[in-house]
Amino acid sequence: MNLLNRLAVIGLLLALLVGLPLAFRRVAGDRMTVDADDRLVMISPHNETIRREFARAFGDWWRAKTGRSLYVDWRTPGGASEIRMVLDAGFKAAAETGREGIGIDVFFGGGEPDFASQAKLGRLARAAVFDRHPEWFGERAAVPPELTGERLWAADGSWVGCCLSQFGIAYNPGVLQRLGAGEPRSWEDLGDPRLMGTVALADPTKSGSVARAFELLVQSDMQRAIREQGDTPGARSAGWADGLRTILRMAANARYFTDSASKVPHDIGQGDAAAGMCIDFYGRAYAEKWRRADGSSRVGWIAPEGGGSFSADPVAVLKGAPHPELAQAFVEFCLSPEGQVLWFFKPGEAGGPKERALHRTPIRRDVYTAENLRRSTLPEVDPFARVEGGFFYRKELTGKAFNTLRQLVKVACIDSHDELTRAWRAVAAAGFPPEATAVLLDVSAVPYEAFGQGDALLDGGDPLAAAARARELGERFRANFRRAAAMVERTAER
Amino acid sequence: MKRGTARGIALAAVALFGVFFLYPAWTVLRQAFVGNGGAFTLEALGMVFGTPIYREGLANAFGLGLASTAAALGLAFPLALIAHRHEFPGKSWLGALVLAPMVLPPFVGAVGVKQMLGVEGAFNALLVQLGWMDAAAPFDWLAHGRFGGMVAMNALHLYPILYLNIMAALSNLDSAMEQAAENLGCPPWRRFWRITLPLAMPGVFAGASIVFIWAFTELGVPLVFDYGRVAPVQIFDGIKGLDKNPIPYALAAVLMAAAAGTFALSKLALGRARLGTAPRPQGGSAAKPARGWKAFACAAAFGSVAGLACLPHLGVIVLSVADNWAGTVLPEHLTLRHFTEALGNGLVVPSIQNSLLYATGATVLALTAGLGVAWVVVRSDLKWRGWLDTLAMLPLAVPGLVMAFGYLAQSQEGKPFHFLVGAGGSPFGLLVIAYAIRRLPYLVRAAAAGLQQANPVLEEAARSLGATPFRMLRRIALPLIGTHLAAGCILAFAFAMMEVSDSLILAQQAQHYPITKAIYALLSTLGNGTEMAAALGVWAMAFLGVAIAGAAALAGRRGGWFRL
Repeated sequence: MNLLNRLAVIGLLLALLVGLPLAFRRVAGDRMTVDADDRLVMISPHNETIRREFARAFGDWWRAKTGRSLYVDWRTPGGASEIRMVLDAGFKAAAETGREGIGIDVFFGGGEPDFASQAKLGRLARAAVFDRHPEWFGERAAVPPELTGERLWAADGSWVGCCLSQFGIAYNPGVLQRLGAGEPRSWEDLGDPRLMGTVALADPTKSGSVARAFELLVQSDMQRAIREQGDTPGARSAGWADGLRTILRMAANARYFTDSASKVPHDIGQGDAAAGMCIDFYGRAYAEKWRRADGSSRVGWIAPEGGGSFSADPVAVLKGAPHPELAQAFVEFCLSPEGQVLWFFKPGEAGGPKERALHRTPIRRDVYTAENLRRSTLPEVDPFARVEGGFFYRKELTGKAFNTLRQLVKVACIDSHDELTRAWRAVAAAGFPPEATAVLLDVSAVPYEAFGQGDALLDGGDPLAAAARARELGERFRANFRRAAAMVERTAER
Repeated sequence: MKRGTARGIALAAVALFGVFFLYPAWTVLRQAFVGNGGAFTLEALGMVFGTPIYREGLANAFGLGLASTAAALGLAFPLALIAHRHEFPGKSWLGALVLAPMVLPPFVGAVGVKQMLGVEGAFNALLVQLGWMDAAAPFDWLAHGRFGGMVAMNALHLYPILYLNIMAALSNLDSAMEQAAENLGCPPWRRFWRITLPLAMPGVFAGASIVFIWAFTELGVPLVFDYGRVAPVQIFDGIKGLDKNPIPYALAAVLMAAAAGTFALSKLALGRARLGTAPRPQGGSAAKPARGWKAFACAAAFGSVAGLACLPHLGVIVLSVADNWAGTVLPEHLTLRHFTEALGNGLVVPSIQNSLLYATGATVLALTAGLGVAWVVVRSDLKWRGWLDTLAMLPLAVPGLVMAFGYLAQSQEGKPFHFLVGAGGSPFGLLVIAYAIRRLPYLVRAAAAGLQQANPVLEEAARSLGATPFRMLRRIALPLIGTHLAAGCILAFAFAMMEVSDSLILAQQAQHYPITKAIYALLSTLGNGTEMAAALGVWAMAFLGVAIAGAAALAGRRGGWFRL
């Protein structure tokens, strides 16, 4: 083929390739309307589906209210840690140049800890919805201040939850059956040695919500000990140690710790992992994705027995927002009944999402009516229907250890994962001899008495001192793991 | 080269690096060197070396770098030699297929690997179907023998870099030298060791140094294998952590220093061959037709390496048309829905335009700067040209997130790089520079290898006959090293199109997204997000593949790997 012919073929192929998205865009009618009358700038870790449905619904709501078109300018640098870095860089530069804002109106989505830390830095403006609709907030109102012990909105009005989320366990029934394990019911079940190398865990160092899930796990064991022994220092201490040991067992089975919310249910669906820690709506979305004709699914999701609370997924207006009225209107929309049903209505239902279900639980209790539940993808779910004896978060037990706990998971489980899994395998192969198992799961280096209210060095303001402390604790855990492995290996040699 | 000119070019290059590489990198990495009171400290650095897990992470990264480079060389050199010496059926197609790993899209590339090699992936399903594996006890390929697996995957992903550089070097060899050795009775192996390999060393060094630093600092492959005890993953995890831990920044500084040191040492040992005195090849190809089993063996060698390297691509392609796919060799139901939804998404068309603009701009900038640096390094006698060469390799060793956050912080309003943010917040200037700086090593190495092979006497003759420096460059030097430059440009363009960190962080508004960020956005769609991302990934692979073929057809009518 001569050069000209070759170039002609290549040119034709390129034209065809470029033409395809143009043609499909024309059919789908999906164009960015950047030159709308109004523009709202939002930074968000929410997935594309939530962003799309909310942009469309709020755009319609805004047009109906004002007659003006709207373009939502989404800023999506990644997850919680990337957003924090973007906000840090923006506000640092703003402070240096005497500006109040960073060109972003709204921070939409994430965990309560992420918003609480931004509020503490003074970067969030008071949400006007508290003044415009005071009737929505209160003990007996649509949005109570707390649910299962978790704050649903900030007392100073700097942020407000707009839906709820709950960490639970996603699992693949087929893989569990192959491994000879039953379907998990509690966090402890993820420490079953039959699941060795097949558990997918979320990384608490990169997400406040995941860190909270680990805290709840520890607290669940503490509350059990308190129920059994009474609320004594000994019971708290024993429960704390039990919780840490549960985490060690889960981590010993872990394939990885990830900061990607969708990776866990994806890998479980694919059969690469048997079970894992997963936020509710991803669990439900993947269960639906893998649903078979007979109603069964490759992916199941459960809320762990006694170890989960509902936490708020907030929204907030940033200080110095370039479009403050629009930003406040968005928060109001999110909390309005129209915004609320978007979270859980089936696609195509009037007032529901247009393309895909969001599988999320609204934060207003008054939208959980029989009629709405019938039109939703979550007919069985009502977080406000309190189950007697259900889990209730007690901040005084572990609240101050929130950061310490996630650092402990990092040093003992993530940084030391090689040593931990090696020892776990060796101890399991030896049939869990009590002495070696006790050494492997020894958490006496981090007792509740010293760490339960937070460790001064790990939580302190000196990063170098915190790093040195983390190294010291990590070395102690790794020494335990190596010693446990050596104990069973010595026994085997004898 | 006149010393004044060399000094001018070198200073301009150092200024470029100083402003757009060292400064933003330092603004982020300085966290490792600042104590609580703001004073300079090496405590974090001491902690890196004093903590066994970080030492192990560095050692593992170094081991991965060395082993992956050796394995990639083991794949690329024989293939390049076969292509250089033999004509065989399907050579043009197989030669093009060799470059396929360069067009693997991010995010979904890892998904593609898992679709094929996962516990319930297609490969295990095939083995079960053939009765070679017990369905109740499938083998976990990605969890067992991870080091070997990572080396294999690195090698299969990176060997095109070596292949392109070696082919460019071989295409500049005068086949008369090999023929003379043959006529004098030199056996093939001796001929290879004494003639071919020494003359091709600039290309080998150029490719191997890039592959080594790439594999040494590689993040994606260890993440696919869930392997955390390796320095790049420790850095990535640390930087993304919500605390203000200085260790990952200290570790990144150590990684950069180690990469630079290894490069400088290997250059001392390997890169100082006195070349450039050989005559230019007198046209014509050195390749002779292979017949019978030899022709089959040549094709089989290319086919098997390219086939293995394309496994992730195959995973992505099948996934893009799969309804739901797990536990079977092929999906039970096929659909084009993901393509129509993905390509019809409003993000896609602008992202294609943006990526083309950003990648083209970056390639032109990298070509200009890279040629200047290489010229000083190879043709001048400046004492510090070795430092300049090492400096030019550093962008390969810096974690993407470090550079991205460095640029982000410095491009805020009132900060030094804010002038790079265009009207309406366009990140064009930022991304072109960020992409170009990170892709500069490809151009520097490619141009340096070309200049090492080109006979400077020809340039000197042109100058003595009165040619201006520009005319000499245009009429003599560029044609002599054109093949190398084209190879470097193609690598730079392809990798800029598939860039991740800068794209995710710096392209903030949807109308400015490059393709990689559009893929990332689609990936997070509930339901069929992975499949939609795979569909756009397939489109990107096809487009980049055809674009590279087009560039090759335009640029490379003469010799080398371009004879597709």
